[in-house]
Amino acid sequence: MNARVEPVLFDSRNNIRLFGILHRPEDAREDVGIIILSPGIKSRVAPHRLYVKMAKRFCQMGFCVLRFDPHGIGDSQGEIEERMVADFYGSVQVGRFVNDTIDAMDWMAKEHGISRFILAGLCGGAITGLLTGASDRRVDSLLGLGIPVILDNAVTDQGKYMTRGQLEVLRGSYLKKLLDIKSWSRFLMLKSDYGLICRSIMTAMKSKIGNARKYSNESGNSTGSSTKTGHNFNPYFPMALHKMLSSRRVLLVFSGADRLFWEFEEKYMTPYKNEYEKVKEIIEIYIVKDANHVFSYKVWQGDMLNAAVTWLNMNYSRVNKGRS
Amino acid sequence: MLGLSISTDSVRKFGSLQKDNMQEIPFFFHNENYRLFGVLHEAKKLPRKEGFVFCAPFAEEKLWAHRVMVNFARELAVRGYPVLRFDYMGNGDSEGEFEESSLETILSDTECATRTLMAQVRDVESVNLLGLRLGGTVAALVAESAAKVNKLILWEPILNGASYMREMLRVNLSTQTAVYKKILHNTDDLVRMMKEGKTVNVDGYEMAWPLYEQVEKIDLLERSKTCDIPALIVQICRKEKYVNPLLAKLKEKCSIIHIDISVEEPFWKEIRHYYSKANNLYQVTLNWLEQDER
Repeated sequence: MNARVEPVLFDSRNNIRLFGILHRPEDAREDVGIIILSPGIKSRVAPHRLYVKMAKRFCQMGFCVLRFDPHGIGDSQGEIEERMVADFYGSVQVGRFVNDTIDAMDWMAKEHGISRFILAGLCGGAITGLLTGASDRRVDSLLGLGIPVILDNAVTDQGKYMTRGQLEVLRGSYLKKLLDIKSWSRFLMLKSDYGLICRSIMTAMKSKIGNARKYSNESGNSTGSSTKTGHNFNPYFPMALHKMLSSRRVLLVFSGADRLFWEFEEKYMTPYKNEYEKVKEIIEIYIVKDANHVFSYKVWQGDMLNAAVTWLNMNYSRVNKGRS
Repeated sequence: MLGLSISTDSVRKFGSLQKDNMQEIPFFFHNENYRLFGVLHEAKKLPRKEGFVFCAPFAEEKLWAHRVMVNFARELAVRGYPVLRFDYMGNGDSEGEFEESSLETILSDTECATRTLMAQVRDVESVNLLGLRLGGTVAALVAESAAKVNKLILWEPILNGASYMREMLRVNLSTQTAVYKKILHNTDDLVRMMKEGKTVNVDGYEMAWPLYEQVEKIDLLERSKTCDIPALIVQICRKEKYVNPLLAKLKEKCSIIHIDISVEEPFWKEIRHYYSKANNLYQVTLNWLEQDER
């Protein structure tokens, strides 16, 4: 299917000019369009041009696809005031770019007559899509890649809130260092993170003596309060997800070797198991085996894209003109 | 062949981003059979006769450094310099696949961007090239053949292509270690695979043999033509320290080159600080431009 690829500019509600690339197939569907949301610093292009590849594939399916830079990112106007990257990510995780996303939908509606939207994105783009979906009914579904459930910031010791999976990987690396002279030197010169070493070993011991239930209770319970799930859990995440899932569809794709998947499992799925049980028929979760956070390898990108295309075909076939 | 599609039509069609004394026009232009994406930053008042073409760094370094380049283009534009930023074929929003790119296509794209800037902005009589990292190297190479290049500004350029390509292969080894917990293919294997027509993954970019081979052969110290054009080379480091001995050697060969040091974080890679502007680097560069005018 032939497509036009054009740069577009539109104004946000704050009168900040935002910049994007629109992929428009010849026979574009007008009932529903896709907006791919910036992962964070890496703009409308995303790591290794992942969004360009996604847009091409979705465009071949007949969807009009917009990739745009929110304020302060890529080529758009505006500035990011945060001085640390972690603080910037934290601001995205609580909705920094939600209004820009709503403004992008308004522009697509006005210029191209599209009234329903599939929001897609990696990491920061996924959480922006989820939070937008919770506040705007035009969001018909979410395709979230590696969605974060925590809040980043520059002052928190993220080591304190590591998941069991992360601690186990760390433990493996500490064991390898037992034979390394430099590591012993660091250890003896008080340069090592003793707290982290201790936590990683304790986690393994707990696991070995079959104390998983106790661990689970320590790290959270079904009431799902943020203190029980670890202080860096994003309280907006479960609220937004359950709101989206009350009537709309969600596909979450995770990378098998990504800490974000472990965090999703340990900080959301386990503590919120009662709520999750109610929605598990609507939410779809797909794991790309061995993949890293940004789907670096072609085979991982292919797997992720096939999962996305299958899900889109299932929910938005041309014959049905989308779900009712 | 130039397949230009901007100027007034483009402004009407896509709109432009206007701020202070400049406007920004995104557009596609043709280099032979593919389209390159660019953004033209134009001064609205007192446009100068010298324009700038920015040469982007390699692969993912471009994405990390993007905003620093955008903001410097804006700084130059408000001072009257028209600036064209663009994506090489297979990069950013330009057409083509990364694995089809080579140093040859990168040089050709940069020359095309230079012609495009001169064709689009009536007042521009000569072009300055500004490049970061491998983009700096590209700028120096293009300046050897493009007659209208007036000045060169190289920010932390790659002087030796072979060691840079080895660095890129080490990125692949790190990914292998993270994924498989061991190295399945060492650097010799990776080079052999590329020679056999396969690609090697560097941070998600599929690098093919032509790109690797052509960049590997670059040694800026051996290229005497770089000495013919007024050039500023800025060494970027976290703490002010001595000049890189290789740069000092280059300076010995070419007295026309000015070398300066700027204290900045390495904003072309993942760092803890959020970097949208590199004020020290901007100042060093603007000072040199102003001195040259005097």
